[in-house]
Amino acid sequence: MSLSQSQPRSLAGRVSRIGLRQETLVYLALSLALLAFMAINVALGRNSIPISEIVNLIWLKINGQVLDPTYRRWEVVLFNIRLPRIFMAFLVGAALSLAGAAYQALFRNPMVAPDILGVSSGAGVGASLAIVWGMPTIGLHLMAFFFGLGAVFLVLFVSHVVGRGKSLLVLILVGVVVSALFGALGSFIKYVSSDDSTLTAMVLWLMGSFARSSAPKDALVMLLAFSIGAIPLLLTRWRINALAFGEEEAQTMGVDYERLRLIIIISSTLLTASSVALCGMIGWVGLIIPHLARFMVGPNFGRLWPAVVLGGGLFMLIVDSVVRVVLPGEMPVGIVTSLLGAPLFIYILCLGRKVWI
Amino acid sequence: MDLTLENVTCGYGSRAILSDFCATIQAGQVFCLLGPNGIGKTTLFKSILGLLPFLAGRALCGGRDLSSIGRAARARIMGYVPQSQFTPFAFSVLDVVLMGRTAHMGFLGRPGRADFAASEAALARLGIENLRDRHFTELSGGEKQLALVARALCQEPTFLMMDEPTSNLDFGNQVKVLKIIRDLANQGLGVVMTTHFPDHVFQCGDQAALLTHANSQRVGPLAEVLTSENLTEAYGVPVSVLKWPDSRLDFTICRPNFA
Repeated sequence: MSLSQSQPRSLAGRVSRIGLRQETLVYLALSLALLAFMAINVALGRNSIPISEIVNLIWLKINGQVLDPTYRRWEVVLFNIRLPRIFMAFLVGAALSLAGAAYQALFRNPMVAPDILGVSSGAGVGASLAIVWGMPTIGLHLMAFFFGLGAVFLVLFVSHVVGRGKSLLVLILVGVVVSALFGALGSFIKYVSSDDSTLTAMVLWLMGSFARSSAPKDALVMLLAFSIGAIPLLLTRWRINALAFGEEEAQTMGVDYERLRLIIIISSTLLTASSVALCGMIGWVGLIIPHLARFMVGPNFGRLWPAVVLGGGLFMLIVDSVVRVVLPGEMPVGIVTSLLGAPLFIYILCLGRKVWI
Repeated sequence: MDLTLENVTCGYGSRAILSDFCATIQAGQVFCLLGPNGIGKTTLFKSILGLLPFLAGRALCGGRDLSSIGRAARARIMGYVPQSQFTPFAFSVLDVVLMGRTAHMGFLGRPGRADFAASEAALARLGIENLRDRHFTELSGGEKQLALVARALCQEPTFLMMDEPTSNLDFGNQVKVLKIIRDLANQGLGVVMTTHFPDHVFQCGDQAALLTHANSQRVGPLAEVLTSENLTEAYGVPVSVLKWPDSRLDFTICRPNFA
């Protein structure tokens, strides 16, 4: 027992020296870091805007005053490019992390990612078809979104037929099978598409980026999807804890398991499908941010929800600022999330094995 | 309040494992379920908890048919203390105990001050306040067992359903848990427990049900059910039930007869 007490612990539930609960400090720190990176992202880029002018600019915009040419250029950059992209990155990071955290709680497995039920590979097929058929961007987004949803509903349907919807194991197995099926379909579409530019477009889409879908209306669509997906998880966040000991124990504690499971699956699918449809496949975030958040505030979903949303958004903003400012050109974010995420994950593993395994 | 099982048949799908079982379990008593492996103890247990539908018969609690009430209402009648204690996440013990309040929270509810107070009270009732901030995953088997008992007590049930509560514990912890079971029953809770040890039943039980291979069940007071003949028949090994005829130490033990 003395051995186990010497292990590192998460910081959850402890009251710190200045009288705030530890998780409150974590939320505060994450929010401050988030604001800092938002400011950095607003200011930096090909057209840098002095930070001192940003407040001024927003003030003038609200008052609808006539702007001189320099301000006009900054205005376009700020309101049509930078801010939507910042919100997009934040929302996608938050959405993927939240979906990952919810699935990890549902499947009682910290190794589960948001695309466990095939949403990403489904969306990939939809997007590839849209590119082959030369559809406009809006068509691509819709195709990716509905193919993503379709793949998950196929998984739910098949597992309902096979296992009468009872077993989580059947759900995961069918998810793996459907993912493989859509993965193969995606490869097939790439294989038969004859010209190189189509192929390049498909491969780049699959790597994920915020560059091509950060118009103000895209960010608004993402905000809507995020709200619809995240609010049910917020409202049921205390109940989700009871899943930690499995389906049967949750039921004996009074949880309507089937309903809660459906809420988690539909919410997570909506969060993931909208992210993938708008920005392509961005791996790792949905896996590592929940881990990091559990390390900071513990596994209680009631305290985890805010940490995952803030942490996921922050991580994605950091990645996007690296992509936009540090690296030349527009490298797909999917590459950078993995390059940054993998070492970070190993570091976290070393810090606190005991805490969540 | 009574929990009455009327001619219940339990099993999976259409396959009945246990047929025509009758028993009445009273609050304030410890009801022990014994029988060899595979005889249907767990199946009966799951059926009473509502995890499996009864294939025939019904369970009544205070005159109400249990199949007609919802999960949350059932969770306020009976709390479950499971055998396995695995969770991949390092919840604090307080968080685990708080999960037991789910049945009192409403679908979108969140725990309030009363829920935290009930959790603290459950920990205090079992004398494990010191475990409050420990990680559940770091506890020993005995400590985990007590934390899960606290979780079930938090549901404020009339009946406590304990699946082999002593099976993974060392001798000292077995004694502690049996003592707690007895105390809880004395405080008015009805305890239903499965066990493989007749001695444990003698130490804390009031009523017993012995499921034998012949698909016949004996239900009643310990002295009638747990006799040498019945146990020998049920487990297929010769055993003797011995009474210690001493006015101060009134106890019964069961020991195998080695040839």
